[in-house]
Amino acid sequence: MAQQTKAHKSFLRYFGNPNTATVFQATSHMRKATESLDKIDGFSVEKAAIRESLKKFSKTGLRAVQATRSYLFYRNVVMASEQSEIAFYANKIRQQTAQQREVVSARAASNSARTKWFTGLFSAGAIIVSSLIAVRLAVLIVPPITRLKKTFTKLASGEALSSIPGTQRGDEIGEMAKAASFFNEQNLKTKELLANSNLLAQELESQAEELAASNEELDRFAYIASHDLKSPLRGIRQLASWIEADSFDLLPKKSRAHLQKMQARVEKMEQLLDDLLDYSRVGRIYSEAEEVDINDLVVSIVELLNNPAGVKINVLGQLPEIKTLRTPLNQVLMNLIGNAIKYNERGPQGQINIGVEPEDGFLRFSVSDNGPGIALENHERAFQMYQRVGKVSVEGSGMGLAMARKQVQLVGGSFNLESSLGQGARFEFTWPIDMTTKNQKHETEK
Amino acid sequence: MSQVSSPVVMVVEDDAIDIEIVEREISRRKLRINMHSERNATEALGTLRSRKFDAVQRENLVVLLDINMPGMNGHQFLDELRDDDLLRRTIVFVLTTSDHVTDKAKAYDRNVAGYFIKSNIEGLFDTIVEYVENVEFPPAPEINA
Repeated sequence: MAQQTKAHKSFLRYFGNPNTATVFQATSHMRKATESLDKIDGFSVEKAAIRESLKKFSKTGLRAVQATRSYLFYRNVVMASEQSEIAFYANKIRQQTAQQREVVSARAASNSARTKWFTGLFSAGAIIVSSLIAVRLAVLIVPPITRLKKTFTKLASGEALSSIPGTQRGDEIGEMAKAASFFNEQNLKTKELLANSNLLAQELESQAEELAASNEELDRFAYIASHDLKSPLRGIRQLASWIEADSFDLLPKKSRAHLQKMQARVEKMEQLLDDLLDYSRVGRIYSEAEEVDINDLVVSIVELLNNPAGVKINVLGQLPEIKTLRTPLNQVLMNLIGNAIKYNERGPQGQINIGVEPEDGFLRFSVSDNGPGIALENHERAFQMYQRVGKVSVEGSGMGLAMARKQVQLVGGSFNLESSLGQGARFEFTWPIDMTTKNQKHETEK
Repeated sequence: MSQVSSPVVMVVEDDAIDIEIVEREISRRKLRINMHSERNATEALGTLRSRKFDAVQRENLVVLLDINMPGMNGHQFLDELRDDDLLRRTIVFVLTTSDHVTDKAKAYDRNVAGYFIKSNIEGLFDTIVEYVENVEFPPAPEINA
């Protein structure tokens, strides 16, 4: 009987501290109890009854263990549960079996000739009680726990449920169900948040698309406008030149001056339209990516650029070879190096440093100089169309940096300027190392 | 000069100023050229198919063709011209503002004799002068219409 107590304790330990070892212990104690029962002589009827009752106890215990396992699997997640109904019923079983044990052991110890019917009656009573408990466990505890288990499985997978079974119960299962509904609410909120962020992401995406579309439209507009505006302007220039050729001598002095001013304005306007056309063409007509030796590219740019003052141009380190679109990269570098040369006032003391460093799939190009620099308040303006922030006597359209930045942004790079007045300037931009996969819009203009 | 009679230059051009540019260039160079202008490509085709020019004139014909024109444009004009049994040999120089590759490719696909940008009117006339001076013109087919 001590074995049954041990088994009982193991079960209780399991309920207190769920651990497979204690279940094994309990079952082994139960087995030992049955074995020791076999050793007792006589009382075959009583022994059978006790064995039966032990079997039932063991079955009930194991079922309770099973139920507890399911429950505890989620209990760890849900809450630090004080007690469980299982523990409660297990306690009942303990009390019942304690009584049973007392009587049975008393009978065994005294080995007295108590009436067989009393033992039989008691055993029968114990069996009935155990069965009732087992039925109660089976009906009241196990199905709701199974339902809760399913609920938690669903909740764990992130599902949000319309209703949680068992919340109306006043017992521990009710508590667990309430905890489950708390999780359910969390899941619902998470779902809502997720839906919201999806919506936001979609909005952002469509906004980005709209922006790209409107940029394209703007480019098309600029192209068409400048292209179409050029044709009547050409007519005006032509007519003015004919007036000049045919009847300049006939015109009063004032009209001659007006005619000449008109021609100068026409020329200026043609230049503006050409620049606008160039700007809108950025990113439109390039061929395939090719292997470009940056070092050769820089050398060819430097050779091509007019450098009458003899500004010194240094290439820092070894420049790499990359697969890229040659024309736009050439344009950007040509623009930056060209600016650095033409605005530098130091003559042979002028210095331009060109460097390249790898950075996350990009190359960071830098062109820095010891020229006049750009005041901070003019940094943004320097990149705007038709804006000129440098010395006015230096020739320029005010489109160079705007086009360079547009070019860099089109290939996914970024532009950066560090400079202040009198401190030189450092232009940096990033350019993708490999452009074989990333294709920018190479639409051919119409 | 291989051409016995003076060449006929037909300018197909919607812009009056551009027509005048050609006129002025001809008179500036004092060229012995019989100039004829058409403001509309469809009408120009009609003229070419008519009996407006006699056989001698048709054997000395050079067309200066604009590309961007309202209605039938230069490319469509060339399509019709090259599909026409009587007109397909016509010598055509393109004179346009477009320096776009597809325009050039399309024009040469239809066998133009040369492609000139309007700002290069002098180059065009240098070429035309040399051309009519040295090139044997195609024989004109009989027009029986």
